[in-house]
Amino acid sequence: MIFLIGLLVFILVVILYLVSVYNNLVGYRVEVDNSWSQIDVQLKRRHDLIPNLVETVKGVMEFEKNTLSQVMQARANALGAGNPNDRLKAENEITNGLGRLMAVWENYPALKSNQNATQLQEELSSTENKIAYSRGHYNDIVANYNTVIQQFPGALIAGPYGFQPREFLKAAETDKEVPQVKL
Amino acid sequence: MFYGLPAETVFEVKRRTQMATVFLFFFLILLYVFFIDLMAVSFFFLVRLWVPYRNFHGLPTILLFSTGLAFVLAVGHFLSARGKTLTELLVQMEARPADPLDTFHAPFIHMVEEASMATGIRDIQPVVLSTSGCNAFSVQDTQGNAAIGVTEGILTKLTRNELSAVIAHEAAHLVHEDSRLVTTACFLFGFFGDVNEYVSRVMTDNSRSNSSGYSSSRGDGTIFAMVLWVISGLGYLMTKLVFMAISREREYLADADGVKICKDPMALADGLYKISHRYRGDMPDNYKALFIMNPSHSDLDEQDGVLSGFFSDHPPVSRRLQKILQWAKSDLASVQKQVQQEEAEEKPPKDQPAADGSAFMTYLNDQWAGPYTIPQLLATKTLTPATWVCPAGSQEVHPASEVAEFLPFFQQQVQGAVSEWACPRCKVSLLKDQREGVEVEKCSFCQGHLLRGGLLERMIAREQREYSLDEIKKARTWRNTQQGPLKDRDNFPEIKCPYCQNSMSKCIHSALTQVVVDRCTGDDCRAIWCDGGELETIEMLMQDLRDEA
Repeated sequence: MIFLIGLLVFILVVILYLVSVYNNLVGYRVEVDNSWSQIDVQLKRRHDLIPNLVETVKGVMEFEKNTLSQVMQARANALGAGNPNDRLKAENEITNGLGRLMAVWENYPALKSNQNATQLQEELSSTENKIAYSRGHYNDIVANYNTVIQQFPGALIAGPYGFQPREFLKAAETDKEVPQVKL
Repeated sequence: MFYGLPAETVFEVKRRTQMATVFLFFFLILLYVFFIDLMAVSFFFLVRLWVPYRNFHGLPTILLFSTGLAFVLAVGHFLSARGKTLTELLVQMEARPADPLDTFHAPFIHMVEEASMATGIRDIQPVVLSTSGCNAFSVQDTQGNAAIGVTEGILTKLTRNELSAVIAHEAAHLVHEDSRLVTTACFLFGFFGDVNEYVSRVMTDNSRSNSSGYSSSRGDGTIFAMVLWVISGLGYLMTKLVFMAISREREYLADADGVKICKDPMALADGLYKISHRYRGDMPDNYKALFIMNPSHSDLDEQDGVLSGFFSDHPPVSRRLQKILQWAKSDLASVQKQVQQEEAEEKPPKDQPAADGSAFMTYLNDQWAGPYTIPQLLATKTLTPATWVCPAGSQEVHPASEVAEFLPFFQQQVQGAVSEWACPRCKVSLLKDQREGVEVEKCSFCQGHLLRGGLLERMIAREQREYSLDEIKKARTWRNTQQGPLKDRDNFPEIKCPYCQNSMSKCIHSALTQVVVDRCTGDDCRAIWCDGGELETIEMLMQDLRDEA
């Protein structure tokens, strides 16, 4: 009898323990999702800013017409993308294009003296920073999550209940290209 | 490569902060028990001295009672400190929320949002202190509400990258929960500092009045005050020690993690160097530990010995810079050189054309003429809202702005970015105007400026507009003639605040400038109206003071 009660108590304790481990894992997973949605918010913000950018630089002659149309095209691609991979690719293109525009921005006195343009530049570069920071933060969170589901005791629960490891966000392919130096 | 404390997970940080809070609580109980028991015991022996023939056995009882009292007081103190919120602290520090319309504040708000993105701490409140000193701080209350604050001075002195790095440093403090701990410590022990300061102020006042006559009035009150002063002083000293234990090592760590966030060690080094050799603002003693750099410059901070390690709450700037510059693969000399170069470029040449708005109000007609009909009057281009008019056949003299028939005519002449407020003197719409990075309202007729509460302090802290020596000299001469009571200085009639319709009272802007401005009496408005030329005069004289310094 005492043995039976002891066994029951033991099983109860084990179950409670597993429940707490499960809850802990759910907490981690939600944090990953939340962190992803934060990136999403910033990407959306950037999409909203691009028409403003086009409007602002419209008056400036020949302001990087090529890059600008590339950015516009990439934005359209990102909005219409069917799967996350295509979307990420388009977003990376926007990042590259905007980076190039920001780099040459200072060369245009008409933009430097325009109050609206200065504000827009500040908004754009701040949004770029936010995207970069939130990507970094996402990777940190994913690292925590992946560690927890692969370590004991998380691994016991993660397998049966379908906690899949998430992928890290990698740098855009073009970012990694070695710059060609021509002398 | 980074400073050698092990990286912590979020949970470890939480646990450490909780432990430290428990430690602080026990320390508080210990303080209370020690002092109250000490008082009880000394009281006991005093009574025994005065009444020597009665036999007292009550010492253990008294001790038990006083210890119990101490516990109750300490718990009450702790609970009340925990109940304090961020808002209260910010009000105490006189920090205002950053203004998104201000061209200096907007990037700062962005940077705080970026820091929030990088750390995953939601909703960090950006706040600003109206001082021209250079400093930054972060606070977090027990509920987890966080704020990052900067001074007006730092917003103008640092570049975007540098400021961003400084904010990353503050964000790192928030991640490590240093700010939460220091804020809790401030709430818990700030009390002793306040009592000590208050008592010593009262005592100096008393001794001053004593020395001027009533030297015999020293009574029991003074003894009590002395005891209180010693006790609170001791409490304050011990709490300083706690602060230091929290603060010093943590600064290095926050530097390291700040660099990890912003990825730009050079910018942090430049920023720290700029802050270190400037005026850092004058903050109340209690809050010093919250700031990135000790607000009052102390030599102790810069020494590297055992004593200073114990008694200063910020590490030496040179040591911090050295550590950061190792990561940047640079050295102090190049930082100094770069900052000096930047400052040389910043200063614009002194003799620029006179600023607009240096005209002063004049009477256009020095004799009465007429009578003219309204169309005739309007046809003379000289009519302004300030022109005196008097209806024919009456003796009542008004400024033209008070005659309803003229108003549409004046309003027509107002062109540009019209705001929704009307000039309190001319009654026409004010124009929106950008000045020193803030949005102000300006009247196109009388050249007066309407500034929202707190804006004037902000504008003074900034040095974009430069006046020529000639103008400053004139302003100085003018100031030296300003004496006598307030009511003789300014003949303008009383006005109502355009924002909130409360009445505005005349006050002298400061003893240094002697300019009479109108300040709104509404508690949450505090707007300031500067009549034509007054704002310019204030700016000239403040620039003069700065140049002298």
